[in-house]
Amino acid sequence: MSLRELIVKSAISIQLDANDKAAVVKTLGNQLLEAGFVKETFIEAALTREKSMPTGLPLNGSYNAAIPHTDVEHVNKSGVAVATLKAPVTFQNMVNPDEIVDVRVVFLLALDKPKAQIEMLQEIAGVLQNPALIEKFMAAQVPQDIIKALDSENE
Amino acid sequence: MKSTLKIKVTHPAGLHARPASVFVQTASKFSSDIMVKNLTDDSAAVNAKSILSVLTLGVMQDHEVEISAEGEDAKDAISALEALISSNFGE
Repeated sequence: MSLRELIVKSAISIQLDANDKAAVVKTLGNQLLEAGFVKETFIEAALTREKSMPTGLPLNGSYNAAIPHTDVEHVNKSGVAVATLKAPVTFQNMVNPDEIVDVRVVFLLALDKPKAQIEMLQEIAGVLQNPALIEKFMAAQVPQDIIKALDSENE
Repeated sequence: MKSTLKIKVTHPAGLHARPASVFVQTASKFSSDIMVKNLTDDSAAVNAKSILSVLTLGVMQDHEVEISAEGEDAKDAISALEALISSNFGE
């Protein structure tokens, strides 16, 4: 399943006003929870994993991203939530946890199989290496614009 | 100086999560240009010092990778990465 197919429309937040990464994960996690994709334990588990294995990623373009996720046991069915943030929140760098990354784009991943998780990270890593696409995400005014941006890449 | 290594990744997470981070951290310690490709998936070679590039390889458990380093410390870089992968990333 591709990212385009797994993005949950009701779990796209545009220019989200969040104070910190926990607030972002809670907002997106609750949207996935309401839509039935994840279990009650998911948000806490994603935040705990973020502490030991952070997911902040400095990108080549103007904006940086983070891809919080957690173990498959907290997931009912695969889905991806996306947020663009009104102001940056800090995540720790995936490679150097001592380093702080100012993040404006967050993908919260709920994957129900370890193999699906690796494939999704593979695809998202490709998306994140495309600064033009990230610019389109940041310019999105409504959730549908995120979907359109992804569609324009697949044409 | 150029040095190359073919090795199987036996860690259950493949080159993903902590193994991917530690792999990139280790590669970044060396001045040599280091490239890695997924032989099992026949991918193109990518920069081993970029986490995003390494994640795009989709290296899963039991996939074979080829790592090549070119530069003054190429041999040391390959030895360090070989030790890391064969020790299952120190786990």
